[in-house]
Amino acid sequence: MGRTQPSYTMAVNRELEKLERIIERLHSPTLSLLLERVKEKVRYTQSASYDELIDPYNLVYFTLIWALAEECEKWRSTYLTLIRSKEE
Amino acid sequence: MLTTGFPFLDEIIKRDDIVEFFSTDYDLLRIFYHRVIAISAPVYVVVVSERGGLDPYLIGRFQNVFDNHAEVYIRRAFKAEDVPITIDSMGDNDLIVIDPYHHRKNYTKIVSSLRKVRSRKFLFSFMDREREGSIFGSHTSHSMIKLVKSARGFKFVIAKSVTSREIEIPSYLLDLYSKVSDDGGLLKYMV
Amino acid sequence: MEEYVLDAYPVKGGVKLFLSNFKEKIIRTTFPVYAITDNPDVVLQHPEVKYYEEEKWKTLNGKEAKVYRFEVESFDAYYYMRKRLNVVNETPTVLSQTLYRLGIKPFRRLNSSDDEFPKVTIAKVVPLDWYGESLKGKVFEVKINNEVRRFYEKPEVEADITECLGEACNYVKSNVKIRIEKKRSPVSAKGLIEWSLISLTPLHEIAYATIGKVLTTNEAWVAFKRRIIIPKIVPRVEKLRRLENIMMADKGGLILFPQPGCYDNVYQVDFSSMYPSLIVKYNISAETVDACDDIKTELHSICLREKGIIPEALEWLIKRKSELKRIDKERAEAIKWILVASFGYLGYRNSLFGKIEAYEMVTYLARKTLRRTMEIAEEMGLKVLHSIIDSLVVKGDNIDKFIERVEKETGLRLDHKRYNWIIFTTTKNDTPYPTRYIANMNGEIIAKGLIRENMPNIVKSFLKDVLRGLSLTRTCSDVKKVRIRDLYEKYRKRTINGEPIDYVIWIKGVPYVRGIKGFYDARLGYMGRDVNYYINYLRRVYDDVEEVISRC
Repeated sequence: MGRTQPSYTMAVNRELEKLERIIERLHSPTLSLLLERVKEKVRYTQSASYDELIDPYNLVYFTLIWALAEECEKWRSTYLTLIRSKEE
Repeated sequence: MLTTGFPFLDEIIKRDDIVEFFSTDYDLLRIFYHRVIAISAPVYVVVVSERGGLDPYLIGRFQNVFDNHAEVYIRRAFKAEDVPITIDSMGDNDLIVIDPYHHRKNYTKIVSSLRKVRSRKFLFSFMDREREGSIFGSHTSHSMIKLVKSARGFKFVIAKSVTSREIEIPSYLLDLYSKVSDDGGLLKYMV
Repeated sequence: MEEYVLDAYPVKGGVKLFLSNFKEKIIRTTFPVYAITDNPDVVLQHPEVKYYEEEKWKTLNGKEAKVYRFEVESFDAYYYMRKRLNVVNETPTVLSQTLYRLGIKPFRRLNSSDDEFPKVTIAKVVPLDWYGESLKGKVFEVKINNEVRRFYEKPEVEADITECLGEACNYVKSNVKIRIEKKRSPVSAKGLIEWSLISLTPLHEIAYATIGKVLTTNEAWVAFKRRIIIPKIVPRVEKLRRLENIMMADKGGLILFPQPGCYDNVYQVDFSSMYPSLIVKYNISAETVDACDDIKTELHSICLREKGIIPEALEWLIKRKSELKRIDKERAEAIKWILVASFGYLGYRNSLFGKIEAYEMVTYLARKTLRRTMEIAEEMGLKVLHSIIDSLVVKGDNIDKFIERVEKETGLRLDHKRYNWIIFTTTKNDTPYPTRYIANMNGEIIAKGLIRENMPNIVKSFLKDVLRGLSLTRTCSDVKKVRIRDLYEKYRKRTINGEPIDYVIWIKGVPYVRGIKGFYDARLGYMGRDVNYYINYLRRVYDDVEEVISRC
């Protein structure tokens, strides 16, 4: 925690809360689920970017991309498994 | 060069040595001075506070908006006794001072340091100057500008100025975060 | 058999000593008051200022300066001078300086200097009301040395040193009475004795002070012995820096957030007094940081030419804490408090011997050290589950070799303990919660952040019973099998028909009960409870614990 600059974790939480408010107004279950993933992952992005000077805003959106990428990968694997089992 | 990026306002205050922006709206003033720091770079800044006062990431965002990544030099003054000597240490550079009277004491020495060198200064005070009165008196070329939230955004209320009489300049909240066009609209006919 | 010096007060013409076994003694002396002035003769006009001497001291920057030492007959003269002159060297206190030059040390025998802890009687007397400790009561809890007894009428207690709360102080005969309600520090009477001992300051001058006073006094003695003038305030100008530099420097400790869940067979590895040890190892003090380039870092530089005031002040305390840990936990704890606070004090705005650059240097080195330790762990095949500021939790073999290598490379001491299992929890937002975890160290449960001070007593009891159940497990799969449903049902019933004390909640030192109309002060008497509030509270805590266990 710094003396002058705001607490990084609290700044990240504020960006998350902003995102949460926007998503709530959109009433999209897809986005709500994605947000859950982001919350689970965001502290690890924080840990990984500790020595870089990354804007908390960018950190949250980077985590969102990470969550999306994992989701894509999950479906890609499922699809490939399905294709393979059909071929057998 | 010290500038607010609101052309109309900058025009009014351009001949003042010391300009004091004050507000009781903490968030409004805070966002405003982060903007002013970014747009005025290269610039020297004194932050008076034991904790907090500056969000470097917010300055960074403004630097992107205005495409100005020039240097921002900072010194922090944590206690009242540090303020005058920290201001002195900035020499004859134009200066931004965040919350100079934060500790509500040592006024005489602080004011004396602010007046000592003939450079331009922007002060940002979290207080109600109208109630607490001006510290400078009429000898210093000095403007006092109040920021107030309004229905549609906020406004600059020019409370004291050598060049202009008391006027109000309304603005949109969104303007705070972006470049403001040179065309002042109807206002340019008022002064 | 000689008496111990318990406390000392200034009187006209000398000091009055309170000794053990209710003895007293007056020693004639004058008091030294240092001042910087152009006109010392004017001061002599005060009838109680006896004479003065000109002395050559140094400023914190190393420059020579002229100071006058006035010898006064009473503290009235001292206070008089304080108001009118630039009086310096008030820390250590004038009284402690007076005792020092007389060769009198608090809590030592009057005329000999052995190093043993004083053999004095220490008592603690507290009135009890229905809700617990209170300022008034009909029952009293009396602790003498280590024996605790309850008295159902007014007790009569005699002791060398007494801690008493409220009304209990009226029934105590003691020359050194410490009123518990006025204390601002977290240590016991024994801890205060230790503070008085190491700071050479009479007990009454620190009994109601914060840690800052003892801490500063300890540092001030180092400066005093080097004849460095100690002013009241040290104005400072920070080094000019670019925004990016402040962003890099203005940080706290390193945190690696843990993955929530249960882990078997792990080790908690802690750096022993990390921040104070870094201060000593790297010679970090206001006057050494950026004074010259002996140690260069990407942040600031450190000068090694002279031992810094703060490193010198802390070095002996670190040693003392290690030694005391084996003999007396309470005294070691008292020293620990000073060490813990001394880092924060380094960056405190009113600090005499610290400055922000020094503070930043310590956090920088701490982050670097912790990061290097994590790298070493990974190099040696250990998995780092979590790290925070000055400790880490790792899993793997060869822990002793790991500790050895880290101690060798960093030059700092480590402690470690093995846990059968550790559970990392989450916040409401599903993010990892590093400061809340439960661990099992061979049947002893360590629970951080779980049982909060401001929880209702009955909820605290419930959690304690849950932890007792967990203490019987040995692996994560054991934990997963733990059933707390029955325990919860038992407590739920008890919540409906509990004892008044079950419903007490302590908030900031005041006991409350939640009644039908809201919270009320328990000191006014028990006036019923809002059962639903307590049932819901218990339910939320139960759900939370079930969730924690389910993640195993």
